[in-house]
Amino acid sequence: MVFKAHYAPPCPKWGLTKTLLVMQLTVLLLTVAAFGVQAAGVAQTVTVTVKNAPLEKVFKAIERQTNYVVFAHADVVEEGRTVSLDLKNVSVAQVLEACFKNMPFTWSIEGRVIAVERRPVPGLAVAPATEAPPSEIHGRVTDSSGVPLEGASIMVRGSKRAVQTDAKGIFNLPLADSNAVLIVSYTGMTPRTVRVNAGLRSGGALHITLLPSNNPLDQAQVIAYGTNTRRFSVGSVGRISAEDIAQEPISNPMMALEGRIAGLDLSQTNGIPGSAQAITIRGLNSLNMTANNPLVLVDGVPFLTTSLGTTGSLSGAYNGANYSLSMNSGLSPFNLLNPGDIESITVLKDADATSIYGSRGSNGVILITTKKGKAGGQTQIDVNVSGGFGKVGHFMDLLNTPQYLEMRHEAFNNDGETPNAGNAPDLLVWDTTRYTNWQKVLLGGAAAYNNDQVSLSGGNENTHFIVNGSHIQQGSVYPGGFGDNKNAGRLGIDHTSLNKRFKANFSVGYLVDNNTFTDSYFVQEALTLAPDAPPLYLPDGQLNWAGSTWTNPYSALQKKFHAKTDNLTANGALSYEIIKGLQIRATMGYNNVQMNSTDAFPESSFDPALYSNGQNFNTFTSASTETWNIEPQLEYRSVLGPGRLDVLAGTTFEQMLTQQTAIAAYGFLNDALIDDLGSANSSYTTTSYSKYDYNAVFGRINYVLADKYIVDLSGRRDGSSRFGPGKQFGNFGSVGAGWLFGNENLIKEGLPFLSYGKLRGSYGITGSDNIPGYGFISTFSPTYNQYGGDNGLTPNNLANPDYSWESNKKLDGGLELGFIKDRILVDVDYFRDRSSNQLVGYLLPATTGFNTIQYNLPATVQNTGLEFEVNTVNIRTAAFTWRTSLNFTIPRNKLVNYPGFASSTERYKYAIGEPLNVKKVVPFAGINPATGVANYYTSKGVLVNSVRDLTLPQDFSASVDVNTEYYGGIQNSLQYKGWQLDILVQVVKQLGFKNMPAVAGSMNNQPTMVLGRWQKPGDITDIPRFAQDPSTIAYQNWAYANTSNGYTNASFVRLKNVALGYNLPAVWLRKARIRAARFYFQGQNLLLITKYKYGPDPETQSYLLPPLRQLVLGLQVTL
Amino acid sequence: MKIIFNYILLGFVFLVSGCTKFVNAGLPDNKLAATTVFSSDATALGAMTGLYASLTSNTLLMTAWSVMPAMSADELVNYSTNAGTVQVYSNSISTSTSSNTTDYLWNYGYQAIYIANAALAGAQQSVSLSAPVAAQVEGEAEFMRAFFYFNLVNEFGGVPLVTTTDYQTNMAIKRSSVAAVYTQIIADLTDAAGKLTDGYLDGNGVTTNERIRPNKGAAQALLSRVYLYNGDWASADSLAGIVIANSGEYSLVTDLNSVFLANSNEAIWQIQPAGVGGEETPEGTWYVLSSNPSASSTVTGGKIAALSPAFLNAFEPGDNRMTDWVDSITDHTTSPATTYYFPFKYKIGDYGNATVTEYSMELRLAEQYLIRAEARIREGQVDAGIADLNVLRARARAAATVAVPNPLPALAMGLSKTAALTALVHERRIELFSEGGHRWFDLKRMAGLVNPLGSLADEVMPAATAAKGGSWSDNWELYPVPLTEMTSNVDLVQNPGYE
Repeated sequence: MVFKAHYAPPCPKWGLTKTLLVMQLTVLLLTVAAFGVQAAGVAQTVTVTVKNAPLEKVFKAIERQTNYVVFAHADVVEEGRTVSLDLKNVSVAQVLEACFKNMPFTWSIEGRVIAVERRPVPGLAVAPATEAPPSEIHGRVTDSSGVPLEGASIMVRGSKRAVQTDAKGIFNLPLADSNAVLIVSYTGMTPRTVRVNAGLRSGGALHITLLPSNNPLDQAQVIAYGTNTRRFSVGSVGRISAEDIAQEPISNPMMALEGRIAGLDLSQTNGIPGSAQAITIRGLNSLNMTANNPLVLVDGVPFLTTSLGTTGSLSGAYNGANYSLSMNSGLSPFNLLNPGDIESITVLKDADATSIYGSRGSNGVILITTKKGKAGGQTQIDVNVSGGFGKVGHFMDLLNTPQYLEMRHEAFNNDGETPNAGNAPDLLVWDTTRYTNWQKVLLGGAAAYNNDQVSLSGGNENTHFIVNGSHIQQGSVYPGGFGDNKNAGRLGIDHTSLNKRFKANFSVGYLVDNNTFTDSYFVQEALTLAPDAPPLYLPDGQLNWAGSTWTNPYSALQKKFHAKTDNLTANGALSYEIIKGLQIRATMGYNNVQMNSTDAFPESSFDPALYSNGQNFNTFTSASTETWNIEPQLEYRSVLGPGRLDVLAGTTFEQMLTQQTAIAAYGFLNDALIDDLGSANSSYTTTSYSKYDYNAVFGRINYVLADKYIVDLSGRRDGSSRFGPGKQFGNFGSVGAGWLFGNENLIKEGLPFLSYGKLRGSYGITGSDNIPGYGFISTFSPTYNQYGGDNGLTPNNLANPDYSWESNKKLDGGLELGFIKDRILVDVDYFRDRSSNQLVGYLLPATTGFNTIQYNLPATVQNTGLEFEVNTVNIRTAAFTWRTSLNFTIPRNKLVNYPGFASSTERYKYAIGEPLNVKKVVPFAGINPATGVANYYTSKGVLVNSVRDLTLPQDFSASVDVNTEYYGGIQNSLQYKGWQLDILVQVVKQLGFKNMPAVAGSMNNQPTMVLGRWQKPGDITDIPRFAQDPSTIAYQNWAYANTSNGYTNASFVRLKNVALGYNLPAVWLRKARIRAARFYFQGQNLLLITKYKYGPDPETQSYLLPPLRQLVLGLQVTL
Repeated sequence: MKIIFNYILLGFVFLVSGCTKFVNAGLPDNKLAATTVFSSDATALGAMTGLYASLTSNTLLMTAWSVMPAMSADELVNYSTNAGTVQVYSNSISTSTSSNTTDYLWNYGYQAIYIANAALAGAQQSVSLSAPVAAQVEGEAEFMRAFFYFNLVNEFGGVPLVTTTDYQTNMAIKRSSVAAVYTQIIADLTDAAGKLTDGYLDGNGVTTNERIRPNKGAAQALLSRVYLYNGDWASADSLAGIVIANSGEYSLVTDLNSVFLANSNEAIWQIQPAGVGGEETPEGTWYVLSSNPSASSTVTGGKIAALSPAFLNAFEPGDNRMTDWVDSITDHTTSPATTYYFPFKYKIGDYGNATVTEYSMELRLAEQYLIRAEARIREGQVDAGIADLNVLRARARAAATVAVPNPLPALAMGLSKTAALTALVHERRIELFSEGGHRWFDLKRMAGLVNPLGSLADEVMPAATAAKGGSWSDNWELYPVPLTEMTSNVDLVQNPGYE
């Protein structure tokens, strides 16, 4: 390899324009670690036969036959000398000796690098190199593949002198002591100490190669506008990597966060693929329950956190069109990301990490980083195919037919009524000898899962690329062919100019998702249909409606739902180093999500006897969210005094435009035409439109002193269009500090077992503009239907021009310790977040004409918590490694104060000093042994026998805390030769809702526990008597769930994930010319331990599809 | 390349100057500022059009105000097992559930009142509206406000009297007395009658045949009803008389099957079904059965009820209202076969018809005859009152047959006042059944026929409620204030029996 360069010899000018000169200084030494040529002891002999050949040819011959790399100065080559050699099986040194015998060049071998340069001209030569200590040292820091490491820090041990490398990895360090020891460190690399070779001549250069670090403390983690390591981080940051994501058979990458990050509470609301999760970081900050979503950025571009919409939500649109769904329902937007594209997901939790996001960082920030082409020039093909299936993990114990019939008859007896065909077709019309296990029929299927990923990556030193294609398919456990199907492609290119000053990277991804999950109620039906319900089909194959006595659950199979979502993401970054350490850059992003859906209810899905002409309908929805942002930034990195300084300043322009058009169309002539809007008899259109403009300036100063003391300052001034004139701007900022006390000599000597110790803390203010737009101005929008042929206008909202930023004061303190050479790492965090000036949709009585108004509530909500993370390497031998990582969070949430609470509209919803999602309930007084009916206490402690005797809401005198008491996860990773086993267990302690879908005794099946009901006077039980008549007190009491008895233990331990992989031995692979191959098995939700009996799963706590048990086999090959 | 970076630098400079402008997102493409709405004739009328459009697209509300009172009274038999429906039907509305079916009446009523208040204030404050349009908007808004307060006061008693759009006032408002609500209603209707035109106007202020926006006659007709409810017999008599005398505009439709057609001559104010899916009247789609009444539907879903035997038995022989306004279906799968009779004033019970032929009748001429009859009888002009009743009886009279040689005879002149009132109550029950809550409101407002010190409800409802599976109390005459309303306004007082 010939490196074209201009080497400037040392001269007096050096000192004057040092900066410029350093920038022109080029590489002397560079190493390239060739794949697979690591075997030691291989004889490095060479055969060279050339005649009058340019020197390059000899160099190439050496490089081809050995693992040496030749670096020659440009002028060596440019001089155009030729050489003739005929050497067979000689050493490299012999070749070089022969080659340069009569030339003005000299050579040296350092490690695997052969350096060739001009022989010093006599007269100019300084004193012999061995004698004069170098007054200045120049060097270059690269990774093992020769890629220069910019911003690596070089410190002289024992002095306070330090420098940083430039874009080309080059540093220049004045040196007094010839025996100086340099400490070279770089984010994500193992720090190295290098003794300055006395033989190094002044002006000579040192090449330092750093190897990637295995120490989690030194691995690079993506943070706001940059990267750092855990070691030097002051903020509270959690991270999962591509490997963690790869272990889980998921199609939504966010699912991989569950159980892995302290302080992040993620729960599935539904087991249907693509459905949303509830994600909160460090608790609920806002009384506005839909405003607790974290900020999510994909490669720096804000990603939508709310669904583009679902179907069937068009009715009751009186208050104007607002169909957007929160993260807690509908289709998850994160389903539009391909898990295989993701390099890492970082969760920023405290003020230090989030305040640079200003107004939007209040609920924490999630940074998703996509994969980039790997440096090193290896062209590589990765294929990863996996397939399997998911099933409902366990079914509920429901009544069988005899038990069910007994319940129904008993209910009629209790009510003193006689069943008739109208109110009891299950007793009088249906065949009472039938038994159907509806859970098996409706939920017993196997949901196919397929995930295929192919990627091609490669490039050279300056340009890398990665191309990825993927296909993910998920079926359902329901009858019928419901499924979610994703195809995605992604291209990433990054480029560095030859002089390393200009850098650019671009990536473009396109994903198409097809979802056909209809809004059916299979789970509710599976759990509540009477076990003697009629057969699904008549003998002639028609749906059986049994004389309109039931709704045939298979009628849902006649419904047709199809949502196609296209997601285009593109982002790019350009940067240029103006002068050493000063970089100007701009990142740009664009994201366009388009959803088109149809949700058809054809005539065939209705009971023909009840169908009225023209009742078939279809909803056509077309929605899009378009986001762009541009962030110009300036960053200056330098050595300042005894430490490293990093200053960042930047600005953000962002716009998000969300539009939706929904057309509900009725009365199709024929079901076959139901997807044709033109065939509808009537239709009406609703639209929604929202534009969000956001603008900010931000800055951050980070200073690391002597690798021991860290100070972080950041600030942001923000403007958001979600606020009215004069209220748009807000200021946010934070202060953070860290002390790496483990690096203090006193600790090092006194506590030698302590290999790492850091104390850190931060305090800052972040904000939230997590509200719908336009609340500050009173508006009217067109009604979607005409009246008398004329268009109408209807008011949208009550206006409040005065609301402004919600502010969240975050306090965080952390202690990080490493023991036994960092084999045990412990991280303890305490946080206290106080959010005030709450932005809420303040609940209003209907007499105002609306339900809510956008409002700053002077209430303060406090979240405190303790987070623990422990990472250990329990066993590490050549063949066997066992690692454990554990995270554990104890969150506490409290409404601290609320001025005017006693007269506020929310006084029966919350309580001062109690958590936000406290449930206000009526105290339960047990089941009256005489009547079998639930009894209650009023707020005055009076026992009443009927809910009708309660005065509500005043009698909500008790409260139940349904916050998670603690949660955590523990992962064990075992590695033995080619085998790897990962086991993730998730633990959650919480109270949950007793989800009884219907009164026991009504025409609905029930869990078997209702058999413990009251039957006769004197029975002592906590399950009331059966009832079926809604006008009776027994029935109304049964149906009343807002009591202290309405909640139960919903804690669980879940064997969330087991991944077993086997890497085929390298020996086999080499023969097949395969770089790596791995077989793996993944199991999801394999085991659940819980006492919760009121629904299929304590996580979803409702009659919705539980998270499925998934079993997947896969093969990953790297070519 | 340098150029690119110059642009980036320029960006920094731009930032300093361009901030405030950038974050003013402006109005969304699909919205108008409220101030703009009342600055032009078209949009100001559009705000009122929007009120009607939102009513008609809101089948919940439409069925709520006409059907829920019918469920509470003695007209129907409910077949739904839905708990909320059963509670309304059996006069046992629970106060412990977070929402009741009757909440619709309150919540949507106040939403409509908000729009009326906004339109009224907008038109009054606007300086750019033409005089006729300002009068139309104000008159219609006052009429609609009165219409909703009339419903609310009869459903819930003395409700909070909201007459502005100021949320700070309206969120802490107290209940007004029934009298105060009626005072406001009378003031609004009197003013509306002065502002509205004799003919019907459309959403552009142009004369039309469509009787779907209130005109002067509508304001007078509703006002006569209000006076009747308040015992102001003379005013009720005179106003109903004015409407009846307006024969150029209004006349009784001879064919009973045509009374409820769109823009029938009997219509004083109708609501055009122009809403969701198929655009038919909510009353028709609610009442008209094509199979057995459903057990699983709800009071807002419909097709759950049939006419009660007590009501069917009240028809006299030879009354065409029984043959034309009642229909039946028979279920032959039961033994013996079961026949369900249902209201058939509106004939269209399903969606998807090419043209809309029926509109929801809110005010019609026949009621004005009944109002005048009652006012006259109470005033002591019994014969004049009976003459009015006989007009309606004559129209409903079937042809004589062998079986019924003397169908629906005219009421004799010279009846005692008590007998005349009994006849009036009967006539109202038969003429106005399943319409607009008339029967329920009548039971509550009218004195008992046996014991005039009590209400008619006291005489009718104990047996009726028992038949419906509940037990009657005077407290059930009013619906409960929604629980959400009680929690969000400290100053509200719950109706007796629901505390």
